[in-house]
Amino acid sequence: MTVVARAWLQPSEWLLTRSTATIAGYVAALFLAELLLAQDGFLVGGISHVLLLVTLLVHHATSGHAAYRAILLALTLPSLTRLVSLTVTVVDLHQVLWLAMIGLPTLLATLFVLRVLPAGLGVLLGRPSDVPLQIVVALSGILHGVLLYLIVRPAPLVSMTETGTLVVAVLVLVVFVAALEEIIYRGVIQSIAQEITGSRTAAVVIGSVVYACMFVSADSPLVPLTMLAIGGLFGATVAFTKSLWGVTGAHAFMIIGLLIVWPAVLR
Amino acid sequence: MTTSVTDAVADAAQSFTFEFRSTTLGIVVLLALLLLMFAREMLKAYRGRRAVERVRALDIAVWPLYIVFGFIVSVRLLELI
Repeated sequence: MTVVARAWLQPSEWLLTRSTATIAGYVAALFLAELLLAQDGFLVGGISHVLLLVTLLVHHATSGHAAYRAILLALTLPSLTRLVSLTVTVVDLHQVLWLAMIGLPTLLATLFVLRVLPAGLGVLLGRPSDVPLQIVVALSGILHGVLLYLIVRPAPLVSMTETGTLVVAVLVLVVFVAALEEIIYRGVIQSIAQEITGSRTAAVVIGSVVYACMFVSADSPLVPLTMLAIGGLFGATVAFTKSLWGVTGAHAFMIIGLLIVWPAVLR
Repeated sequence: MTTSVTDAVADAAQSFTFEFRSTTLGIVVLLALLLLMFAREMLKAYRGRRAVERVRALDIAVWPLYIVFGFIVSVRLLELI
């Protein structure tokens, strides 16, 4: 009980450490790169992400046995995702294909990060101890999807009547959006942040802020704020249940609802 | 609305041709790949445990950027044919 309380309630112990300051600096740089992408265009934003990526790798190579070393590699994943997304998108191809083309190199990078880092994701991907709770968590994604749809109001990604395209789109959204994003932001970044800071609160904050930073280049400022709240909720769920299955299901329901179901049903 | 395809990414794809993006940001990304490949080969020359660990760390960026490079070259070649 004491350990749990300490992990959740002692911000003074992790707020002012060198590791936390380093992580905060890189998260601020990620935020700035995304802001430049939104304000100054793809070239300035892209170059900022290249600089951030190289800086993180050089820092990792030269940081010896620093406690924060592991998270430097994990924080390369958002910049890599953005660089891939800015360079491989071809306007003539369907957006479902964009997601798959961006997802494949990102998945490969994530596997390489997991190869370098100490084991930890295995626990999160293991059999969940409380299956009914995980199902409830997964179903909560339906509400998140409705909420996001009311904010963003996107055009439908695919038509509900084209069965073949619909099946492919759902598969791509589940694998390359829901599962991949949960593994990166909750599985890798949040888990490593918890190991480094020793605080679940800090880990949830770091994971959700990094996740929300990736939405700074959205048209509406409400989007990053909403994703910060959803990321915090998902992060707290993972920290509490020690499983990625529920939040991956929630993310899948959320994104399928947002991009396929609700644009057709609620328009 | 995903972390990979935000409004800014979709706008960039629709506002600028693939040719323009690959000869501007694409070149910058390929220069970064060359730099990382150079560092990787240099590290490979040192065969210690730490060198192996650092090579593996560089693989995180090098292999996805290989795919990006292959994709850009393939699309540009297809445009020529």
